[in-house]
Amino acid sequence: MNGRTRIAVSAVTATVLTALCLWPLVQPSSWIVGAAFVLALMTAAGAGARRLALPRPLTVLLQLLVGFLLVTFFFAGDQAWARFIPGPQAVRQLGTELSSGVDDMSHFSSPAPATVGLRLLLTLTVVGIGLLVDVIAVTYQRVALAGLPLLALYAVGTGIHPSGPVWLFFLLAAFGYLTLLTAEGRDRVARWGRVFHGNPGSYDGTNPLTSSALRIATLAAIGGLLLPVFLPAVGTGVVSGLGHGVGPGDGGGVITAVNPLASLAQSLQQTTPEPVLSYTTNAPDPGDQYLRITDLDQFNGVSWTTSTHRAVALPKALGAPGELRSGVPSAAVTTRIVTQNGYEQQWLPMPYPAVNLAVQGDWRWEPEGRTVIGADGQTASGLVYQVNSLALTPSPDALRQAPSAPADIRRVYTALPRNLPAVVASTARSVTASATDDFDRAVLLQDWFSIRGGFSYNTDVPVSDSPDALAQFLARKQGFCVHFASAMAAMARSLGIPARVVVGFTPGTQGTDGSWLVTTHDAHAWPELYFSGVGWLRFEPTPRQGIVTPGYSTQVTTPSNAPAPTAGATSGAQPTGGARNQRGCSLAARHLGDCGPEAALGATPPPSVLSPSSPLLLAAWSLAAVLVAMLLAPMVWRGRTRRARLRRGPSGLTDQQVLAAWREMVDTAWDHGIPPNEADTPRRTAARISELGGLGPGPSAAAGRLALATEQVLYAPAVSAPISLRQDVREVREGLSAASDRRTRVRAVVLPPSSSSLLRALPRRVRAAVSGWTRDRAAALRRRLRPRS
Amino acid sequence: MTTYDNRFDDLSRVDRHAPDGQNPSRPVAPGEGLAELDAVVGRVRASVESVLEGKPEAVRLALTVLLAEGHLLIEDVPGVGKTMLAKALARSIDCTVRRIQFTPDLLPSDITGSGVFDQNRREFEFKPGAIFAQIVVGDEINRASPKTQSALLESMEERQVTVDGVSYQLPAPFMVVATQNPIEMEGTYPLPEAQRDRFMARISIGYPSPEAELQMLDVHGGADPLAQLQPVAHTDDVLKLIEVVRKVHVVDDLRRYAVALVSATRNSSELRLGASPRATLHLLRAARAAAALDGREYVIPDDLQRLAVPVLAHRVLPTAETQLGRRTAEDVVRDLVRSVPIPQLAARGR
Repeated sequence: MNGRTRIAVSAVTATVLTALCLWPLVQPSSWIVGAAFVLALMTAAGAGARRLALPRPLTVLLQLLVGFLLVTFFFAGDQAWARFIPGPQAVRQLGTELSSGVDDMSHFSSPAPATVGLRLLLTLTVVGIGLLVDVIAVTYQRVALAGLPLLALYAVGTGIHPSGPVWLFFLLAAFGYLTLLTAEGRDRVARWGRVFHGNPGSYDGTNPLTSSALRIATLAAIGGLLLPVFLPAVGTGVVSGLGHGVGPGDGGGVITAVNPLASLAQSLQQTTPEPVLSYTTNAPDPGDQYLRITDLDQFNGVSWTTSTHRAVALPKALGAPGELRSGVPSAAVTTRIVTQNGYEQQWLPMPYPAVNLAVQGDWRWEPEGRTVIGADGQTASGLVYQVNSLALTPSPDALRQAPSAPADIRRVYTALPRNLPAVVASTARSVTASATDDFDRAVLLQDWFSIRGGFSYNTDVPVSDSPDALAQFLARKQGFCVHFASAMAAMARSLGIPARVVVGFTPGTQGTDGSWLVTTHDAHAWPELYFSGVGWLRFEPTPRQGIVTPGYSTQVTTPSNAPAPTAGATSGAQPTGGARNQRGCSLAARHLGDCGPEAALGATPPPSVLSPSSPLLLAAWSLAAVLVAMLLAPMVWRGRTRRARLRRGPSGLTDQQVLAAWREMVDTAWDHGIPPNEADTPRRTAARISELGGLGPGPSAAAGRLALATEQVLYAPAVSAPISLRQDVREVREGLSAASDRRTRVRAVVLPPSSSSLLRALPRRVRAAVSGWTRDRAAALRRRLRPRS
Repeated sequence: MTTYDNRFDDLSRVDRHAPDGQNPSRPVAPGEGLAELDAVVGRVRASVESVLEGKPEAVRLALTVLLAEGHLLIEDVPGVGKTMLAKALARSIDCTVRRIQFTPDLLPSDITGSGVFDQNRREFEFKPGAIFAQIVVGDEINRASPKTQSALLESMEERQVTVDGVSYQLPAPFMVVATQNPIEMEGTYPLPEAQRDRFMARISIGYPSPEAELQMLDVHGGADPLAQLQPVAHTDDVLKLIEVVRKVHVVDDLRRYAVALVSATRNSSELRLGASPRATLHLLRAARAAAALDGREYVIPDDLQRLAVPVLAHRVLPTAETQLGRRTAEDVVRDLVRSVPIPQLAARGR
């Protein structure tokens, strides 16, 4: 095994060992074997290509092709031609599996069942990382850098599922990477020359070089494992997962405690909605009744989070909000909610403001945000509970005349980080310049986002962590509810209006039996603004199809609450909320007179990214065509060269023809696995070809004749006329072909190694062409500049 | 009064004071005379091989050096036939031959000659030393002190001897065939670099194959085979052949290749000292002779490659690292030959 092969094998080992950290994600984990198999074959293909001295990019392309064929075989074999060659159907199936895998990823918490989609997704991940490692470490010989993709794989694997024996996965991954480094180190040390002590050439660990390397590696691994425990800022590191598996139990799809906004985005990006809860209500306008989960009152410029409110024992009656004055018109509403099993949510979804709650389980009451939180692992999974709430319909005039908020509310809910981009406040001021009171300002802000500002709804925009994410959103004007809610709340705060972001659900879809169904696609975030005398009021800046702005806010501006244009903005994900239309048109949509063809369009399944007509598939096919053309190019070029070299001249044999025949024979030998050597004389070359090619006496003599003729042409003062060299070349070729095995014969025709000289000569030719062109240009320029006498 | 010193044994069978007709400098056309060369060389080769069995390559190299007007250094362990080869070559050619046994007490004047006071004529008379012959066999040359070894410097390169300010021309052809033991052997002085550089080629004979050794027992068992050797070529023949060799055609690409080979030794990281420009000259001359010996009127790269080790290896000095790696100068030169591309093939090949 030579050095490079050893590095290649170590690269596969390292990738597979690191991939073991994905083990707990899916049960059973046998997919790893398949992935390792695909990876091994890809590496073998790469090793073969390198042996043939193919150019590096071609090697990578070949590996990609092999990987693609194998993945097709495993995951869409029944749809493929000859089980390997992916046709449109197979590609479509792969696309479907892939999207279902992405779906499954968000549905299931680990360990998830090993669905085909998940297996495909994981295999693609591991194979992709493996290819990257192979390309970096072996093809481009940057072994140390290959640790980066491995690190990414490890980080993703243990990040998704931080419980389990993380320390073991760390050690396995470290061992894999060290194996890779060792292979490279051996290769490099071997190049130093012989080792002068002990048994030369043996690396049995007694060698001081090896043993000190081992010591360093062990120390580094142990250090990486234990050092974080002693560093206060880093936490406990990977050791924390030792023994007991206490994770936050990331349930995937639905909004959880960890980061409500991030998992909200995840929920919205799901392709198929998962039911979360259903309810019946007697609300006067159920389309206006949102279900709140939790409020986020802390804004650090990047994200909104919940401050630690004091939760108290759940009182018998929650009571009306203290700030609600008696004169505000309201209606009592009773809502009966049934949550799905598996809805592992810490908060209880409730209408606002709830005044009475009847629920089983260990719950706490958080009076400031008016939310209900489960204690001791209590979740909302599989619950039936009843909420009495108020449907508030304050008059805009009363709101306009509302006095300013109490100081303690203002202190908490108008706080903004110092580093907030100035554009936020300046935009807020310019948008609300025409207003004279806080309520009008709020409504103008809302309308600016939802109607006038030119914003569009797009769930593909990520929830960014960067400090200027808000400014970016204001500039790009694309985002989804999280962006809109955050932006409006921040801008309201900048105007001195107390504001917070609330996470929850839109009303959902009404079924035929009158009950409402809420799914993950109804997850939503919206801002709440505080007005004295009424309390927290919902606003709706998100320009999403079928979303309702609250009644009190619509009477100030133009009554048209038509949804802002969303066309073109929702390419990947389906528009959510009321537009999702399973059992008829949602009330929200009806409310807007929006049950037309557009809603029906929303009901059809979204076009798969890999459907036969999609540009992606077209690109894939053209890539494949280019690949095939590139693969065929050597054969075609070789055939043309051969014909040109052996073309019969006008009369007799010229020196050039003799040399051409010689080159043809050398290249033919190269095609049959005997690479040329520039330091070899013609005689030696002929002898080598005869010997290595296993030529019989006839072809050997022909090769000798060619060598002698070449020698004469090159070195003799006068050339005695040689005999027919074309016949000799043919004889040598037949001899070589007869003596070599089938594989070599096929390769000599299909992928002749000698054609690599074509690629090697390419830069030279390009340079020559470029320099010729510039010379011509320069000459022309000089001619033009020459003074005319 | 002179005492007979058998270290300066006169091996020639002709009157060495009558080296007439030295330069038959008739112009020779290229290619002409190759047949004659082949015949003469064939006879000499057969004659030498009759006493040195199973070493055709060593004999061939010796003849190559003779025809290339070079000097030959035969280096090997004792007893493998170094002196036998030198003597056989000398005897097979009908020319003046001297044998010098180099010993630690040998003086430079013993080699070059010295002025002796003639009592009758009352003047100094130059008495030529052992070097005045057409073929000089220097046996165990590294047993003499460097001072004595250096006495050969002028005669080998300039083919003349200068004693007391007077230069004396040496006869043509002039060839020194020296034998030496490897320097690791006891009681030897390594040859100075300048001296080594003057030898065109260094060959080693090596142990014979078992069959050749067996045959040697038969041949050498009865009588001294050297004694039975008769000259098979005349000095004039040799001079004519040398003229033929000079006319062998060398294309520019091969000159460039020779230069590339030699400069590769200068640039090699494994060598402390590369080969000199004289080495390039010697390499090309030897290649011409080798081509002529093959019956070819033009040099091919194979000639240069085959001669690179004998011509270059004794002139270069490996670095300490190379020696520690147990690689000899021969190994290094051999690897260089394998790696230096041949100009024309490389340029036109692809």
